[in-house]
Amino acid sequence: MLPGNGHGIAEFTGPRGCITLATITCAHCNRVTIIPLGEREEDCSRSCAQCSNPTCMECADKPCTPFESVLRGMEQAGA
Amino acid sequence: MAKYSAQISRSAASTTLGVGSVEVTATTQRRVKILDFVLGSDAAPSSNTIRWEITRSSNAATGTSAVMQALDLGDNNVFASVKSNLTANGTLFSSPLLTIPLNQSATVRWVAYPGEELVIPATSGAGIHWLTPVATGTTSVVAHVVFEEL
Repeated sequence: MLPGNGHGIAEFTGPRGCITLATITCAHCNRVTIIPLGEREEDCSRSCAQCSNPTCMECADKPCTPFESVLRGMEQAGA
Repeated sequence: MAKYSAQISRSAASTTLGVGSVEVTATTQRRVKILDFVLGSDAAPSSNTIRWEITRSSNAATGTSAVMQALDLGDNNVFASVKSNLTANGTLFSSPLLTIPLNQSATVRWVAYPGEELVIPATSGAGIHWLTPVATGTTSVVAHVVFEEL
């Protein structure tokens, strides 16, 4: 899983060097999933069958609720 | 669509009080997108554990106002608020948007892919907190945040 190709990046720098990992932002809840080294995207996230956008495992198999509609709900509720 | 950066810090990491927050203010409410941040410690290298959590909040925190630097010097009319060294957290959502366990000797930079930013709704007081709920050794912690105001 290469970072940067349609995904965010998390770059860890420590005394022993640097490692760059790909991240996915859930299109439904806005949570970020860091894809561990050697893992595949499909092991750590799902693609929504309705909107085709990546979701976290927690939102997988739940009804499609695009984050834009969640944001609008927050703005209408004032919270 | 102005972009700004700010530094938030805490001289001794707290497991309850946040390092800082980015919030929408009451006067002019605009969505804020978190584009990029760097987390780490500016203390002397030592092997301590820090668990960073980036968590959404529904009302304003209390803390020291942080200086926001416009990335384009022509953008000088920021409406969002950045607070550092919080003395009271806002009301936090139950689960974080991102959790990063990190050794004190390490730093991490997260950069959003365009369209996959963390978004704060255009609601007064809504924001995102940077917290250290686990911090062995009360080391100093610092974060640099880049955000875009819509």
